[in-house]
Amino acid sequence: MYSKKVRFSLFLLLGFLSTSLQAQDATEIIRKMDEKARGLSSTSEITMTIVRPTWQRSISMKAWSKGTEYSLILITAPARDEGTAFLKRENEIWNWVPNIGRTLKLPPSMMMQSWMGSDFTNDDLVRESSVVVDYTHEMVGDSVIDGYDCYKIKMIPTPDAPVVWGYVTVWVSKKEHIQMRTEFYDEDGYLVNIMQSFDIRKFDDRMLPSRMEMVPVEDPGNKTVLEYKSLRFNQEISSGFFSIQNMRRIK
Amino acid sequence: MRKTATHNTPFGFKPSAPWKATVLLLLIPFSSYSQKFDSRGYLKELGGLSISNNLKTIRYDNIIHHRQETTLEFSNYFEIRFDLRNRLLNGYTVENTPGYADFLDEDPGFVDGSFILIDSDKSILHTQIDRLHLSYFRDNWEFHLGRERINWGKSLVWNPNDLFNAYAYLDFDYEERPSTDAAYLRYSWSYASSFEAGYRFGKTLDESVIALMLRNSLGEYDIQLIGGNYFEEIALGFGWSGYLKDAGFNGEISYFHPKENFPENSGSLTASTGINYMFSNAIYLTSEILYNGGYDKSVNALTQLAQPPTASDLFIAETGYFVSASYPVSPLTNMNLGLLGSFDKAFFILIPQLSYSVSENIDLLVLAQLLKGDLFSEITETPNVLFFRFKWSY
Repeated sequence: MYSKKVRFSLFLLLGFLSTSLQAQDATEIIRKMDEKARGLSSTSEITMTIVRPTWQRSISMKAWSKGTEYSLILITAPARDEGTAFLKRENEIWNWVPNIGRTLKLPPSMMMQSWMGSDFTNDDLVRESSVVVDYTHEMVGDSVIDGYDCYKIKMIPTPDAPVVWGYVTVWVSKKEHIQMRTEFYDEDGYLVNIMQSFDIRKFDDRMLPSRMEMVPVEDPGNKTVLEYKSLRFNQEISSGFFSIQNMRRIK
Repeated sequence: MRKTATHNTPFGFKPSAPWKATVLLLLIPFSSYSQKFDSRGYLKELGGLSISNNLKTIRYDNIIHHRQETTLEFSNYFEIRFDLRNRLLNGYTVENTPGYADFLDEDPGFVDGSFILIDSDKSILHTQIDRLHLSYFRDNWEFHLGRERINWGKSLVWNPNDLFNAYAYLDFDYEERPSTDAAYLRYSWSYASSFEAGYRFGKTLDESVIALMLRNSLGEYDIQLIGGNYFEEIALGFGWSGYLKDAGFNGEISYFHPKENFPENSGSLTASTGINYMFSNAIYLTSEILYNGGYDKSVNALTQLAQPPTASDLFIAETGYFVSASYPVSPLTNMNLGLLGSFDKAFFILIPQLSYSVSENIDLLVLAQLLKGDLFSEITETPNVLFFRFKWSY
C-alpha cells in the first residue's frame, strides 16, 4: 500500500533526451500530466474496491505524499486493518502493525507485487518508478475520450526501468492534461490492463478524476476501483513528517 | 437544565469560588480539544481438535474470545488506552486439567489484572486487562505509563532483543501478544532514530527490567543497540533490519550475564537471524534460524512452547530453524505452510494454515500444529491440533 495519490505510475525519463521535437512534446505532456496529479505534495482520502464476479472488498485509507520520495499511508477501514500504516522513504518501506506494536521493514521484492490483492501493484501505489523518467514517449495520434480531446502517447520503458510492461499507451486530455485512459501491454505486445478515469471534478485548484478503474482484460467481471474522497495539493508537509515515529502515531 | 449547579444542593453544599475555579482549570484542556473516543474490537470463535498420532483419541476445546479496545484522547498530548481480553473456555482441557483456572489467572504483571469470573467443571470465563496505559506525546517525545507492549523485536519467531515481553510464536490466537507493566520514554530525532528507555516494574531489581535502546539508520539498515538490567542478569544486545539485494534481512543478538558472582559466572548468547523474500509469483518466503544459548533443559517442552518465553531462553532446544511459505490463492484466500524445528534435537512442528475472507469483517482461519518427534509424544497423547477460527472485527 503505500502510496498516495495513487495515480498510476507510468514512468518516464528525463535523462533520455529524445532528439525529435515530437518526442519532446510528448514527454512534456506526460510531465505536465504527472505533475498535475502529483503536485509537490498531496493529502488524500481514498477508497479502493476490488471487484470480482462474485464478491467485492473495500479498503479505505488516508495518504500523504511529498514528491516521489516520500509517502505515508494509513488504513482506516476495514476494522481488521484499521491503524495499519505504511511509510516509504526513497527505497525503504516500513509497515506499522499496531496491534503488536511492531515496525516491520518490508523487502524491495514486495514492491512489484499485487497490492492487497488488487489489480494494482505496490509500485503503482508508491510510484517508485516514474512515468517521466522511466519511459520514452512518442506522440501517436489524437482521439476523443468521454468528450475530452486527447493526445495519444506511446510510452516505452527504458532498458533499466523497474517496469513490468512492454509498453504503455496513454490518452491525455489536451486542455487539462488529465490522464483519461491508459493501456498496459506486456512484452509480447498483448493488452493486459486498461485504466480509465471517471467523474472529473475540481480538487483544490485543479480538475482531476475522482474515480479510476483498472480492468484486467483477460478476466471479465474483475476490476479495481479507486475513489478519491478528498485530494489536496501543495500543503506544507516537512520531510520529517515521513518518519517511523509519525507512522506509529498518525490518525 | 439542572439547577443544582447554581443553587444549594439538597445537602446544603454550595460550590465555593475556588472550587469552581479548580473545575474550570481542569476543564480547560478538555474543552479546547474535542475529545476523541475510539472503540473497536473483535469476537472470535476458536475450536481446537487435539488428535493422537493413531487417530484414536480426539479431544475438543472451544474458546469464545472477545476483545474490546478503547482509546480516549483527552487533549492534544494525552491519551488513554484500555484493552480487555475476555475468553470463555470449554471442552476437554477445562474439564480434565485440575487448577487450569488458576493457571490462566496468573498475571505476570506488576498489578494483577486477571479475573476468573466463572470457574465451573465445564467452563471458565477469564477476563484480562491486556493494555491499560496513559500516553503523553509532545513534539519528539513520548511517554507511556501502565500496561503496554514494548516491542523491541526485529525477527519474526524468536526475539532475543525483546527484553520486555517476548512472545510464544505458537500461541497464534494471542494476536496482540503479551504486554508488560512499565514506564517507557522515547525521544526521536530523525525518521529512524530514537533513544528509548523502559522500566518494567518489579519489587526488587532482580524482578525488574530496566533497559535502554538506541535506534538509528545506517545506509538501508535500521540498527538498534540495547542494554540494561534484565531480571537477575545484565543484558547487552544488537538488532538490525535491512536489505540484501531485494530480500529483507534482519536479526538480533543478545548477551546475558548473571549479576551474581559476576566475574566467575559465565553468560549466555542468544541470537536469531532471518531472510524474507517475495517471488514474482507472489509466494512469500520467510526463514529464520536461532542459537538459543540460554537453553534450560528442565522446562517442559509443551509448556514452554505455548507460554511467553524469556529473551534469554526462547526455544525448547539449543538451536532452531523456521521456514514458511505463503501464497495468496486469491485476494480472499491465503495459504501458508510453516516448519519449525531444531538442528540439535529430533523434532519438528508443521504448521499448515489457510485463511479466507468470508466478508468485509469476517475471517475464517483453519490452522494445524502437528508436533512430530518423541519429545512431544512422550508428554502428550495428542500432539496434533487442528484449529478452526471465525473472527468478526468491528
